[in-house]
Amino acid sequence: MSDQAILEVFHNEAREIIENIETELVSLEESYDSEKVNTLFRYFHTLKGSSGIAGLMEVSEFTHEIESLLDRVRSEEIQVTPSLIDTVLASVDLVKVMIFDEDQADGLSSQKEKILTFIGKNSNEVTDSSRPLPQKRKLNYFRVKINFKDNVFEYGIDPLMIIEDLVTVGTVIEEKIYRSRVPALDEINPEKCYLSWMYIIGTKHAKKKIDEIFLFVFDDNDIEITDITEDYREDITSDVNEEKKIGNILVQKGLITEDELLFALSNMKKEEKVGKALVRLKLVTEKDIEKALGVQVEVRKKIESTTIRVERAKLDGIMNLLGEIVIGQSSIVRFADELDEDKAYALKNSLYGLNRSTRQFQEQIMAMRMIPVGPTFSQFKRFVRDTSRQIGKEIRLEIMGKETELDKTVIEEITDPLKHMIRNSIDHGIESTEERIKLGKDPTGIITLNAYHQEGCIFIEISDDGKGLDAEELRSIAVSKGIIAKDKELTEDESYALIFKPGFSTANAVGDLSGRGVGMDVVKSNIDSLRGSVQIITEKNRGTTFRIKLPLTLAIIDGMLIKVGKSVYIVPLLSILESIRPRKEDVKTIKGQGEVVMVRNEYISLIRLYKYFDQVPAFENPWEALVVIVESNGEKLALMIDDLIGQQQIVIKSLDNTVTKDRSISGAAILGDGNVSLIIDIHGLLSEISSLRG
Amino acid sequence: MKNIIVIDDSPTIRTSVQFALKQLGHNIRQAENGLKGLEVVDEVMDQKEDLALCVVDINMPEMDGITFVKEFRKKDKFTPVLVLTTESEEDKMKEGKAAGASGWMVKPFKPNDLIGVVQKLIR
Amino acid sequence: MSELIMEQNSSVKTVSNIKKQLLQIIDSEKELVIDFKSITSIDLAIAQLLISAVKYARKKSVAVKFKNVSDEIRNQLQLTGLIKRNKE
Repeated sequence: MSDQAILEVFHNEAREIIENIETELVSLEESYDSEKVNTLFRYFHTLKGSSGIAGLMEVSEFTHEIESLLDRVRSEEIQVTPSLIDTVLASVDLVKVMIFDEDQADGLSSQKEKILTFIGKNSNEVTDSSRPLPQKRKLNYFRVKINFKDNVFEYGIDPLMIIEDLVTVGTVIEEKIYRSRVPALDEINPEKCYLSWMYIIGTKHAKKKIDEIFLFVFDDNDIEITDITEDYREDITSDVNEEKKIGNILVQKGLITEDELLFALSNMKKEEKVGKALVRLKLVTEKDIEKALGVQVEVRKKIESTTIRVERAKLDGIMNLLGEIVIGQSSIVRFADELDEDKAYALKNSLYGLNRSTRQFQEQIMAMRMIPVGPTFSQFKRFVRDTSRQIGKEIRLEIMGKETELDKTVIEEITDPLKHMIRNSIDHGIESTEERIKLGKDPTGIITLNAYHQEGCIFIEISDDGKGLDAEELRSIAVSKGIIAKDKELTEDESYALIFKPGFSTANAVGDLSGRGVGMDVVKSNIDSLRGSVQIITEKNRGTTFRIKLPLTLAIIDGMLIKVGKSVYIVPLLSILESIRPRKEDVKTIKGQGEVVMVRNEYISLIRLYKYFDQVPAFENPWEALVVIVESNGEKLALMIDDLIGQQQIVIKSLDNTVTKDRSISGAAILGDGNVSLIIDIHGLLSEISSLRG
Repeated sequence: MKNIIVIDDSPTIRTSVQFALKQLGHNIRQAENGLKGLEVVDEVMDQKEDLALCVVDINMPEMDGITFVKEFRKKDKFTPVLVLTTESEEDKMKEGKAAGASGWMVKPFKPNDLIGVVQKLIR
Repeated sequence: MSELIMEQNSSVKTVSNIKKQLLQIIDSEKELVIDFKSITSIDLAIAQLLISAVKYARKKSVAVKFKNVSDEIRNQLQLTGLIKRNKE
């Protein structure tokens, strides 16, 4: 191969690598990920090697500098900053000129100098200990269990050197030295190793650094290095508002992992306590349990002295009262509107200030009801472990967004639907182990739970890395079960949504859960009743994500006040599509469907609310009255009302179940004039009507 | 004075290892294959001197590194042995570990890297 | 003689020998003094032997004392649990 040919091959390779580098850099700027830094490092490494072979020594030397800069980022010696990314980008530009436009390269020496200075300065920053790093990096925490084989000395290894290395890598938080196996002098074989250790270490280094310490002994000795950063708490008693279980304390101390706790929980004997089980399984010592009990007492005391327990009903009471204040305020505003402008101006001004205070007040009370979603998510770990074993699959649950806070009521209401959805992912989402191996996937399937705030709402995601939904398959199942007509055309999203239809199940064999008759349709209606929605994102062989969107709180809604006869009802604003006054010829009666209204060539069932609620209406003809078009789950209804009053934030008072079994009413609210008004639940109304029709 | 024995058929490697490890203040002895290496081991023992470490290549004429480790362990149970390998010799490296080697170093390496690895094995 | 001086090259290579000497002292004397003046560090085999000796001495009601312990050896003895770390 001639030099020119080699150069050509290199040019092609370089072009591709540089493109990849640029993409990776942009993504690194968006979010830091050590894997991205690794990838970048590899690209520069390849570029260095290839340019050297192609005879471009200058490129090779220069890329070597960038490579070592990235190596320091990789080992977390230096951090990713915008200026670092700028520098690497600038160096890519420079490399491009050096490779493809050699004639121009001479003019770039000042730019090259600049980049090298930046790299040099960065290395100074690391070695100069008098100047603190700009940001204090969070510590990583590791639990290291060390158990050498007894003939380790015969491999020329001195374990003590390894232990000495380990304790200098960071701060020792917990040290356990197991000496009991060392025999007394008359019985010892001094050429065997008897000691073993357990360390919990906090360090700014990544796990790689610990791995390196054990490099020569890791494979043939019993060494266990666990990253416990996520669960470890430096000070368990600070910032607590809930009593802690012994198991949780041990996990937060780093003595056991969450998986080990699960293992103990599912291996508990009858009437055995967690602590006893953990000791029996040799995961902790009696002493650890004693200490954890001490922490538990401390936490309890702390809670007693720094917090006040309030019955939830009292909090709800305050919330209700506040709602009434809001309503009172709005009636004053209405009153102010009727005054002449001068007086109204001053009044409105002070009302504006009052409004702001009440809003803050409302936010603070809501914050009191908020609790982190973490414990709810964690409880599913065991569920996933047990159920997946039962059906012979290997599945791990991963949890993200533990700190995300949700209204306590929302958490309570969402727990069951979540469980069903997870079960659905276990049964139908994740493939069997054999299938996964055949597809070249990791035999262990992963279900991920995530929670986050966005757009003033809560999002909860249940994702699996399973087979994904097949729109065509779903459609044909729905047809065969008579859920949709054979010729009905559906978009992909509509096909996915079929799994929420009653009577739909894609299971080949009837699962445990389906046996009890709880399906995804129930899940969907539970979420609907929380005024939430579910979105399905799926990709063949990559998995499915159910994204649940929920309101921040269940206590307040935006409502539309409507008048029917002498009463005022409230319809959630989210359910309303539009309000119209139909023409006489658009109102018809169709056999089997009853009264309908035609809106833009679509027949929508008409519900005369005055009949439904037994009121005496102002108008008996729809073309004289008003019709509100509402929607739930893709189904529309036309509600005939007398008048629209206006929209308002409504604080919901939930009704005692004994008052009404009618699902069309979801609660009540007190209005500005002191009257109570019922809140119409569209989803419930739809199901009431379909059951009335039989 | 503690002794380190460097066993490699390449004079370049022997010299560069000697050069790097001299900084640790030990007496460095050289041998060009496993058989010669064992002779040097005997020499050190006869002189009642302390042996701190053997650094040994895998691929050598006369006696390769793995055989050396096996033979050496018959004479000396506890002295660490560092095996020099290349990336393609992973299987050999495992064999060496099973025979009683302490650690490995992938060639080529920088003097400082070698010192770092040696300091994992001897004080 | 109830004193044992740790020799310069004490390590796993000599540990069996040291064991014999220790046994002899503990079996015959009321007190055992181990002097570290000739060495700056130990290996795990030595540290472990010392643990074992202390266990045995306790059984035999023999007092054990360490002499001329360097900082490095102190640290090593702490890492094997033979002496307690001073809480700061």
